[in-house]
Amino acid sequence: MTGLLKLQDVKMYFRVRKGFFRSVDVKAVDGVSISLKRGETLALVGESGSGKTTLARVSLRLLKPTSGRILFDGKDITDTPEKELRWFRRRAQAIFQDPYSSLDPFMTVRQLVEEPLILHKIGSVSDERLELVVRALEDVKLTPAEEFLGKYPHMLSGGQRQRVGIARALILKPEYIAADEPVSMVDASSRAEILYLMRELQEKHDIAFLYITHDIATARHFSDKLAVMHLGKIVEFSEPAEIVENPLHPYTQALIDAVPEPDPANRFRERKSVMGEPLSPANPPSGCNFHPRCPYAMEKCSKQTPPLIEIKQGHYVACHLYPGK
Amino acid sequence: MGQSNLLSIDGLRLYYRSARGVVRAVDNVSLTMRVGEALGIVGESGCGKSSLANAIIKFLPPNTELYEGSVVIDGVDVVKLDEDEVRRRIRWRVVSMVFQGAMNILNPVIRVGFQVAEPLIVHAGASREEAFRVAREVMRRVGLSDDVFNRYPHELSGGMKQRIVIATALIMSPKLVILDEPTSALDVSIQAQIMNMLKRLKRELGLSMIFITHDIALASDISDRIAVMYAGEVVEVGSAEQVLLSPHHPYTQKLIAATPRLRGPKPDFVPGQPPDLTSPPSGCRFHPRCPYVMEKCRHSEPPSIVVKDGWSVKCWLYAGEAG
Repeated sequence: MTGLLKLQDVKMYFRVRKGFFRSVDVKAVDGVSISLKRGETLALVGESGSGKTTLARVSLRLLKPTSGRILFDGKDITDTPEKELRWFRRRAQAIFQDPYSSLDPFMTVRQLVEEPLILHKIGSVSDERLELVVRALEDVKLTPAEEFLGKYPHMLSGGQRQRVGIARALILKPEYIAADEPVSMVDASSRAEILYLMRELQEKHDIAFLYITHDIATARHFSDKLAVMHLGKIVEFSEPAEIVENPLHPYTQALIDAVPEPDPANRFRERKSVMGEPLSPANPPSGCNFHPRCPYAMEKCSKQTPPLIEIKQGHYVACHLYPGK
Repeated sequence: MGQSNLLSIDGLRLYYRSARGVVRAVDNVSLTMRVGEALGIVGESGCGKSSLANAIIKFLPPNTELYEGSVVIDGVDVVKLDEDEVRRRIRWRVVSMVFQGAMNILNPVIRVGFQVAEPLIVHAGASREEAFRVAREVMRRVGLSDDVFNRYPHELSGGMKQRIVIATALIMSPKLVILDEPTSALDVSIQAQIMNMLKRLKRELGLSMIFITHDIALASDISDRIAVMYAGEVVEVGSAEQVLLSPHHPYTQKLIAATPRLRGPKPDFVPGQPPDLTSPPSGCRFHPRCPYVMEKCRHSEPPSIVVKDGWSVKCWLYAGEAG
């Protein structure tokens, strides 16, 4: 596995008008570095407003970061003009959250999956493209493919639509896919199926995945590395098993405690570690931006931002509870 | 009184007309619920769980083909009432409903406190002052501070909007509240808060509720009893302990195994697609997806087999045991 995608100290600020003369910066992503190898999955876990979607958009260069660098396969693409990015557009793809709104309702499955080929001028004749479409549908287990080619999105279940979305991303044989909450709108009973499928395709085609989710339980099972984001910053990073067994950041601990498991005793107890509403990135607190929600907040926490440091081999955390050596 | 049935559903059917034929959304459902109980209804999308909720309050779309059976709430059979009577006697005051995504259809230009109070003014003829007073009280009950009353929906977070919707459902002190996926669009931390709030309402007010979700883990957070629905039918119903700890129906077993757990094995899934309700499979409707399918399952419909008092399962695997 070699390095494929690298984000270095990426900041993405959005300027928002506040009143007539004033404007404020919403720090959606505030100094994040990640790297992804070929064939590897990095899960990015956080609540809404944590900046995980913005980070994914930056990683696809759909947004130009305010500062920091984006490197793809060794090339710096941070400021590359759009018309020189065609090669990257082909090699990096996205899977979106909502399979109900991300597919054009007036296009058939064939047209939907074929469209990226036409845009990238792959396959000169229609037959050639059809063969690729059929193969992509088979890859995502929409079989027999012939039966699905003529269907429209409304004739498919949520899980099937999401497979069409995956086939669309897959058909260009990308090396990197950013999947933004790919299963949050799929039934609980089918989520694992889609995730297994993505895992299988990843291994088959050696694809690097950025798996964005609010659900730390699926991230635990379907990623190689796990980063927890809170208000634009990565607060903890390690291997998924290590994070679940040994969560260090109070926010990670809270996310883990909030996962419901089917247990009839649940109804007799209140769920633990409820830490107020997620905070707004438009008005982030000083110091550690988690401190207003933190049960262990100390004086220092409202004043100094804790750096992300390696506490033990491969386990990083940004929290004053764990002073570095 | 405490042990009496609040709700008895018997042989309930709700079919719709569609271009593809008749959709059998609710097909011969029988359930009972006691006062103060929380009943979870769990199943995949398209299994008819929301249709069941609509059938309970007689909220029928224009393309209804068939609506029959009985739904006795508080001694009254809703199926037999005409629309006017349902509106006057049942909705809001006996049964209220929190619709899926309701927090997104709050009126953006009306202060939320007024929206909470509105049913009291419209349906009960209360004065504005009286309705506002009750609304403030109910809003406090669902964990909203007094200053929220005069705000507009866009000034509230998702969690607060969902509380507003729940407050509106409680305003006329109904005996039963039906909640359809009330936390599906919310972050886990807010979901936990809403669930804790519902548990408190249940404990403090003795509120009875039907909690509809596709997520059996979430259902376990509030339900005393759980009914699992598949293709328009209830395939297993029992206490939370019975259904979650010793699930009998293969579909229930699959649903539980599909829950991703932080510690433990990788999640399983229910293979294949839910059936088209215009032409459900013959025999047992789950048979095309069932790991234990037998010859019998393909052509004859399994009976509802009582495992124990209050616990029944619709599956041929258990036909021998009950005799």
